[in-house]
Amino acid sequence: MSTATADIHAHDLPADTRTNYLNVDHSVKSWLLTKDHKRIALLYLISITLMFFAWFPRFRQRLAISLCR
Amino acid sequence: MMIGARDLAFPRLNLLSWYIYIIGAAFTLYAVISGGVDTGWTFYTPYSSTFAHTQVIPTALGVFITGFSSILTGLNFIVTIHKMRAPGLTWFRLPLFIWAMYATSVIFILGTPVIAVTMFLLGLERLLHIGIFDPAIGGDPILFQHLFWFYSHPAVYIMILPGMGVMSELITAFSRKRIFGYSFVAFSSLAIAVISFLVWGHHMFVTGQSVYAGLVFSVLSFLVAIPSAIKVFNWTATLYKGSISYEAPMLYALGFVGLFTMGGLTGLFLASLATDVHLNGTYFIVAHFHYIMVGGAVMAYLGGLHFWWPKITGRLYPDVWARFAALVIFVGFNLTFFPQFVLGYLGMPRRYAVYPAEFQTLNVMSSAGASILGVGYLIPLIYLIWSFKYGPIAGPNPWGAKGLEWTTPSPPPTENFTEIPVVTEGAYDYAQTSGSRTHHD
Repeated sequence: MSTATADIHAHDLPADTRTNYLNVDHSVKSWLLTKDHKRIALLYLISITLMFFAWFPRFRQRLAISLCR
Repeated sequence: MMIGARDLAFPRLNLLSWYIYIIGAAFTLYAVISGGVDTGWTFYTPYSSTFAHTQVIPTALGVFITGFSSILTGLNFIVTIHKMRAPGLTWFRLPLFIWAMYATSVIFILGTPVIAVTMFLLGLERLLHIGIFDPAIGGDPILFQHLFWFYSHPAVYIMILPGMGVMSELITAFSRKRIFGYSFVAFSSLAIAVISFLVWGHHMFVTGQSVYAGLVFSVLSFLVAIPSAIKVFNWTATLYKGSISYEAPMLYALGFVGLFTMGGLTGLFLASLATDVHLNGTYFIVAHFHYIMVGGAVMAYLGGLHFWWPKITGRLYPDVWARFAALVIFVGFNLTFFPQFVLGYLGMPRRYAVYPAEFQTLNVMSSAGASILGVGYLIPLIYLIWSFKYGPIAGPNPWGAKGLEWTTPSPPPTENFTEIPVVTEGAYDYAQTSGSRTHHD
């Protein structure tokens, strides 16, 4: 999967496929009210990745408490 | 996309599932920020129902609401797999990831209502004290554990089954071979789903169930090792004489095989009554659980993310960095959790911040490993975000993989396929070098 082969693939793409599920509409509404399973998958991916950092506010609280002591 | 469909059977329901998930997550987040819970993640009664003064209700409500998201998604997947397959895509031509998702969806639908009811009962007990879990008025605190584990054991299979599905895709794609024993791998997913509902008592060997119940649950827990072992053996047999290449997704896949096997084998120690009494509540359990959930599920998640990232975004990530991150994660993971097997065996209990001096070295090793693991997770976060904007164009099939999703452009159009593909061969037909699945552009 070198860059060279990737470029050949890009040239092979017919022009009408340049519109895809990502760039078909850029508005926030088009993302939050989408029925496209691929966009909903990305909503999950982003929200779950953000939840991964949910410990942070609590961590700061605890850190502040332990520093006060 | 892997079944040649334009979307799920119920696209609006799919969106609703996400909103329900976000609402449930909001309650849980509120609970965390406003003080958290001190019940442990298991919410055992009577402490959680009567004595705890922490945010039990918002957390239970969060779990209750999120459950509906799971149930609706499970329903959506099952109907989609039954009704939306492309012409020619018979059940035994399905990618094994789809079989795994089907089994997962069955657990969603059968298991999640039970945890929802359990959380509801916990809320009722806490607010109105109706006595379900209180022996003073005819209830039973152990009943909560039965209800809780009836869902929460299958829940770990919800997490590992999709990972096993991803594994079957990765192993075949990067060893250029048909899967060894397709139907065994497919049915082992269903077997795991069924048996997962019959093993909950192995979480309760020391919490007051009869010795006969313990024996039966022990035997049933051994039973679940059989379909899991079938998968591991069949993946290994697939590798045999394969034309293996070591791209980043394959590194994660090979990591999975090793780590999941260790997690599974140590599970047998815990399923044996005599050894479990010794190991229960120690770091051994923590290590076993993480070998399955991180060594297994997270490795498969990262492998799958790296495998389908070019399809999702249309871009390639830097392969060298990706392989490096996979290696860092593997090393960091083992350094974190392997010492915990030893610690647990030596008798160090879980959930304690202080310990005798002889446990110091192993604990320091584990902490150091956790830091390495943390760095390992941050590296993909950085280069994946970078590649989304600046990565080289991927093309429709950068891995030369089989599967319908690779026959359409990357990123795919909204309707997935310009024309619905017609399938004429089984999954993973890598034997033929020329000609892929029939598709009409």
